[in-house]
Order: sequence, then structure tokens, then C-alpha cells
Amino acid sequence: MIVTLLSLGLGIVVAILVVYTIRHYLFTINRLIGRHRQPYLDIGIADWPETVVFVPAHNEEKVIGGMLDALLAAEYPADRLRIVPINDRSTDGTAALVDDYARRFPARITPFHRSEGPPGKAAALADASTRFGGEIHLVFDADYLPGPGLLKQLVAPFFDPEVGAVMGRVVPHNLNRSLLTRLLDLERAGGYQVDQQARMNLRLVPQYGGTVGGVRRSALESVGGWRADTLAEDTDMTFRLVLQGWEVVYQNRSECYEEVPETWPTRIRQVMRWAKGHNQSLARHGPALLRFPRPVRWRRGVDGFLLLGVFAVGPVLLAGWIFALALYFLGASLLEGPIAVLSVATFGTLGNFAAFFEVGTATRLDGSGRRVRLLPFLAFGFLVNLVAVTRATLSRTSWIQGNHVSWDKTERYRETSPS
Amino acid sequence: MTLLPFLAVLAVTLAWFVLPLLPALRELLRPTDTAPLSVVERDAANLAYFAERFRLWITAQLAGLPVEIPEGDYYGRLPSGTGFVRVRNLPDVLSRGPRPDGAHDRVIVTDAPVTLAGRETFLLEVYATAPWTGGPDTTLRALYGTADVRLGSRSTVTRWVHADGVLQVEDGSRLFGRASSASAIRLGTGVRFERIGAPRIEVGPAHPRGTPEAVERTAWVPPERARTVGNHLHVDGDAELPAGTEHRGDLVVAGTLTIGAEARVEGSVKAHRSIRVGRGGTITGSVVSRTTIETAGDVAIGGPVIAEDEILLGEGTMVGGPGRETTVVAPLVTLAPGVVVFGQVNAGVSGTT
Repeated sequence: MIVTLLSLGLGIVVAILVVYTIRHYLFTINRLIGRHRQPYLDIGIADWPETVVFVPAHNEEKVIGGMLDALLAAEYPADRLRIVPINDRSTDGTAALVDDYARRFPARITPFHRSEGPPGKAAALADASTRFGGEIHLVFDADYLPGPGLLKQLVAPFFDPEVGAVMGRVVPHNLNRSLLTRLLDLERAGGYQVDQQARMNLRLVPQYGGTVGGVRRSALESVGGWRADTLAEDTDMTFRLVLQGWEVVYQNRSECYEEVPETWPTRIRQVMRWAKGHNQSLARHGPALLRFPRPVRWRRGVDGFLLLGVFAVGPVLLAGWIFALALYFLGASLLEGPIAVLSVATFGTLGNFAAFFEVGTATRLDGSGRRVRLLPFLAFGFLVNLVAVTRATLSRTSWIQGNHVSWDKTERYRETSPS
Repeated sequence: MTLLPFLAVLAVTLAWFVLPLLPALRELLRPTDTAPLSVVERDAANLAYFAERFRLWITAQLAGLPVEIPEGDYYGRLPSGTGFVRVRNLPDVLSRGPRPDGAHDRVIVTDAPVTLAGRETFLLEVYATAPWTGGPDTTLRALYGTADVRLGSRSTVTRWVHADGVLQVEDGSRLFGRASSASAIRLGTGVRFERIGAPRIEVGPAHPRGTPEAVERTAWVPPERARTVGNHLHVDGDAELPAGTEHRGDLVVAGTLTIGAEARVEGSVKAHRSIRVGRGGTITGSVVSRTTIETAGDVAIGGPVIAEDEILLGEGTMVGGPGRETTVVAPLVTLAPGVVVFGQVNAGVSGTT
């Protein structure tokens, strides 16, 4: 009986892992030989719409000055751009710094200070977005450094009336700080250059990632605005838009520098937050996606579900290992086949096959040279992620709706604002 | 003794495991590739970017020349060491270059109006501070004209051309890379291009445009399967706006979209398949298709025109307007005579007139 149950469990695990492995390969092959879709990138001149750039900030005095300087230098019509730093109950010098910028650039920067209401980025955006007009709402985290042409690139897809949200590419700026930052650089490359762009190419569901992107205000309003009770307002927004019939667009060449975590504890906290938020969205939107409603259909429904499930794969993988070991020690010799498949699939999921192939392809597409040599170390990074994601997934916060959400701030490392 | 095979297997396994880590360890201990990826900068949307950079460079180079340079035509070297020819009096010096094949392998700087006979080849950049009139079959690497520039028939530009004045490109020419003007671009027929931009781009002879007549239009009745998504109307399947109808608001069609003659959309339209706009049709916003967009004559479009396969703009089609510059973008773009675009046309693969 126990052997049968373990065998069944192992079979399910193998099936799930094989699906994800195939998904990785499909995306990678698409990026190698498929048609590259970036239909809006070459819109260089247009009657640009009124745009508001929100910069949610909680204790960001180290970095927000650089962000505001970069936005002030943006090549976007100044009379159609409003910069709104959202200071959410910061206890450092963020409020004073933001106010100083507002005094110097009163026509361009309008700070929004929050001292009450629920804390957190989602709540801050939910609060601020209802108080400002503009057709397009862009969002940047405070540690980002957008180039001068980025805002136009991110706004251009909104000339397509079906586009509800746009996502650009995040590029680590501080990768020379540690092994972790270099591994994150590889991970980001695989995630954006291959994963996101393949979903764009295949007309699946690119994900709005909460920064270096934005939403159409009418789309935001049509889905009821930002939800304050989620840890991943970006994932949540992506699927609410998609389920209502809006398109989400990813633009690989709309690149922006970010500061990635430099220490493992910070990284683990970040991954756990993402995992919990993703799992919340899986619980909220997964069943709806698998009903394949009219705006989604089966291809986008399946892809969306798999995207939402990526952080649930960690515990599944661990369970598979446990099942396989148990079966081995129970002497279930008939299961050599599934065990072999599992070992291949899990090896692939850890990176040596599918994910490694994806990251290697990304570095090749980026023309980024010798950093790909660090690829074997990614296996260790994935193991850390596996444990962190499993802890997050097994936590109550992952699955219970309407939890108390607070700022789970990523530590900043920048000494001074870059010029 | 019995341990030996086990230890051997263990050693081989460890070696096998460590093997891929060797280059990784080397890169970790002696980093060689730690610069952040370079991101797209200012050159992406500004078609005149390379021209502007060249102008800055050449003016700095000319300012660095010794003051005793003689008047008249002059062969010499710029401070950077690049050979150049300065043409002040005698455009004839450009009729044949110094190379055996007659090509010019120096930067050309002209201070007087130049009219060429044709068939010249310029392997380096040309900087023309007076009107430049090229002859037929001329080949240029790049040209910056601070006044009007005229490229003769069947001319070829391999990298970029920019005119502060009017850029006129005669029949059969090929413009690889970028072509821009701060004033206007006039294209002949059979011109091939990639990226062109100017406040006004005209194709062929001027198209007669009368004063638009007031047209009585009836409101378009959407099919029953249409549903509202946010601020746009979404139609599953195909949709057609019959001639003389009008729709106010953005429209997204999951199939093909046909906009009849003299029909008007006050907003933007998108189709997952092709879009056809009949004669005299008007769309005040953008037009977006996942495949092709084809307009008949005298169509007016206010916003960007975006297709993932091909755009064919019919005779007299006008995109954008004075002071409302916009972009036409698709892998393949065909502009019929009489087309006027205010702004840019970006053909990812090939543009043709």
C-alpha cells in the first residue's frame, strides 16, 4: 500500500517536473530560432500621453536621489510627466530628501507622504494611484537607474489599445560585489532575455514585474486598482489584467539598472517574499486560469498557471526526492524507471539541463562573454532558493488571503548616489 | 584491497563533479567579466544620433586645424590623422578620387555648393556646409548636410544621411541605415530605405488635397459579440465598419478589421489579424495589427501605425500632422506616391516607395 502511494506521488512529481523542463526548453529554443517580437520598440516619435511615474520608497535615502535625478533627465516631454515619490512612513532622511527635490523642481516632482493606512508597496501604490491622473502610471523601485530614453520606450506599447501593462528588463548594476551578485546577474539574464521574451514571442503571458514598467490607468481602474493585501502586487496585477482581456507586453531592450542583493540573508528574504506573493496569486487566480475563460484561452491559461506555479515547484521537488529515497530503501526495484526519469528531471530543474541551457543561451544572446563560466555555481544558488522557497511555500502566509502586509524591505548597499 | 575499486570510482566521480567548476573557480578568483551589461542609450529613437555625433566630431576636428591652411581646395589630415579634402572653390576635385577605382578615401568637407556629375564613391563621411546636389549612381558612406541635400537617382547611402534642410532622394536610390532631416524628406519612386525621419516625409509628386468635405456619418452598430474591456470595445472574430459609419472609442478586434470608405474611428484600433482601411477613412488614434495594415487612398491616421508583418500605405494617405509627429513601424513598409508621414518610418527589414 505504502509503496503504491509513494509510487503514485512520485509519478505526479515526475510529471510536473517534466512539464517544467519541457517549458524551459521550449522557451530557450524559441529564443534561439524563433521570431523576436518587439513591435513597439521603434516608436521614436509620437504624441506622448500624460504619464505619472511612481517611486514607492520606505527608508530609501541611500538611493532615491539617484532615481529622481535619472527621472529628471528623462527624454520625455516635461509638461506631460509627473514624478511622484511615495514616501511611506520612512524613518530615515527620505522624506526630507524628497521634499528638497520637490522644492527645487516644483513643476515636475510631487511627493506623496503616507503616515497611515496599511504599510507596504502595494498599499502605497493603491493609495497614491487614485490621487493622480495621467493616462499611464509607471512604477520604479527607488534603487533603479533608468536611462534617458527608457520612459518613452515603456510608454510606447500603450499606443496599442489592448495593452494594459508593460514590463522592461532589469539589469544588475552591482554585479562585481560578490559571487551572489554575479549569480543573480546570470539568473536575471535567463529570466528576462529568455523566459520573459519567449513568452512575449509566443503571445503567452509575460509578467509585469512591479518595477521598470507600468499600467494603463483605465486598465488599472477596470480591474479595481492595486490590491493592498498582497505581497506580490505585480503578479496579482498581471493576472487580473490578463483575465479581463488586457495584454501584458515585455520589452527586452527597455533595460534599466537595479541593485541586486549582495548578501545571502537579504536574498533569501527576497526569494521568500516573492514565493509567498506568487503562491497567493496562484491560489487567487490559478483556478480561474484553468477554466480557460474567453480572453485567456487554453495556451495562455496553461502558461499562466505554470508561471504562477514556479515557486510551488520547490516543495514538489523535495517531495520527489523523499519519495524516491523511501522507495529505494523499501526495495521497490520496479521503480527504477521513474527514479531515473526523476533524477534527470530534477537535475534539469536544478539547472544542469533546462535552466542551465536557458541561462547559457541568455548570456550568448547578450554577448556577455566570460561570465557564463560561473554557470556551474548556479546549482548552489538554486539549492539555496529551493530551501527558501519551500520554507515560504509551507508557511501559512503563502496561501491565506488578506494577510497583514508590511514593508519587507530589501537592504540597499549604495554608498552615494551615482551621477 | 576491496576498497580500491570503490575509491577509484569515488575519485573519478569527484573529478567529474569538479571538472565544470574549474573554469567557474577561475572566473570567481580572477574575475574577467564583471561589468554590467550595457543598456540601450540615446541612439535608439533619435535617428539623427550618429549624424549629430559626427557633426560634433568634425567641427572639433576642423577647429583644431592650423590657421595657416590655404584658401581654396585643400588636401590634408585632420588632427585625428584622418585624411580629408576641403572643397571651397572647385567641386571638380570631387569628380574622381585618388584611388585606382576612382573612389574617395578621405573625409570630404564642402564649403561651397556642390553639384556632382554622378558615379562617385565616397568611402568616408561627407560634411557639406552648403547645398549638396549628387548625380546618379553615387555611393556614400554617410553625409551630413547643413543645408539642402539632393541624392541623384540610384544613389546608395550605406550608413546614414542627414540634412538640416530638405533631403531629396531621387528614384531608385537605396538608403541603408538612417536618413533624417530637420526640415523635410522627399522620396522618389522605387526608393528603398530602413529608417527615415523628418517633420514631413513626402513620397513622389505632391498629392492634390482638397478641403475635406463635411461627411454625414451614421454611428456604427457593433456586433452582439462585442464586449467592453476597460475603455475599449473588444470584438471576437472579424469586424467591419461599413462605409460612412463612425465609432467613438478604442476598438480591438480578435480577427480582421475592415474600415469602409469615409468611415471614421475617433480613437485607436487594433486587430489580431489584418486591417484594411477604405478610401477616405479616418482613424484619429493609432492603428495596430499583428499582421498587415493596408490603406486605400486619402486615408488619414492620427497616431502611430504599427504592424508585425507589413504596412502598405495607399496613395495620398497621411499619417500624423504638422506638430503631431508620429511613427510608422513594421518589418516591411510600402509607401505609395502621395503618402505624407509626419515623423518617422521604421522598416525593420525593408521599406519601399
